[in-house]
Amino acid sequence: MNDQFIKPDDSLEIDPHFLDRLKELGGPKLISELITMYLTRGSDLLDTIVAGIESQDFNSVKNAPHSLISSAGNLGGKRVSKLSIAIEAAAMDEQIDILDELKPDLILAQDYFQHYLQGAFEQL
Amino acid sequence: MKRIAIIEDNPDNLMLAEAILSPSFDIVSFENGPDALSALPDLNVDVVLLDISLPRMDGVAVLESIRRDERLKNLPVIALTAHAMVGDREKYLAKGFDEYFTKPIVDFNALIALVQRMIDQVG
Repeated sequence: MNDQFIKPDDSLEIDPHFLDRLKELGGPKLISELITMYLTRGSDLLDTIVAGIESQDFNSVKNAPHSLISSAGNLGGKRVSKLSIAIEAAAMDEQIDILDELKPDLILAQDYFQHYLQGAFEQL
Repeated sequence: MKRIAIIEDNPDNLMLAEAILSPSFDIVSFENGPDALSALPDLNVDVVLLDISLPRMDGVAVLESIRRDERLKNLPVIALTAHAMVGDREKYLAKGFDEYFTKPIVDFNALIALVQRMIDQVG
């Protein structure tokens, strides 16, 4: 994927209104701080989830997506948030087959969402 | 101005909650339960917003400590949580939370109104 700004796409469930509302609430400063935080923490959390699924470390897979649910959701990343809910639930039930199915979806959704946020950040 | 304590370990959630509530309330914030429990008795707080999934001591354990403390036991405590499955609201209210609000925070005004309602109920 290139670094070109990715526009919100219904299939990836990115809701641009969330950034608009954050801008109304706290201006560009609040958005830039939240995006910067997400771009750092989101990657780390995804790495933790992927590693946890691959090693079947269900505790790691429970905790990391729990943080992503709200962190992505706060910025309009509905697909990432929904997949994180599903992964957390599957980890609680130790359903490795479901986790293996969800993992590539989350990687893709997170990749798109991060590029969307990078684009939004550059436009601030 | 009424004072709200936010206990939340996720820095972006904390930043957002502070941005939403700070125009209307005085905010004190903590990243974990033990630090909050040590400080709260001296802070004259009116409402607590308490995350459930906290390190060291989860939100339910923090709530139990608040309810055991004579100085804090009547404080209104709102669960602020990403646990938003069917039945979670009832589960946390049954554990003694006064209210329940889900993350991500979608409706900013609803959060402000809920905090204000808790304050008004206490009088």
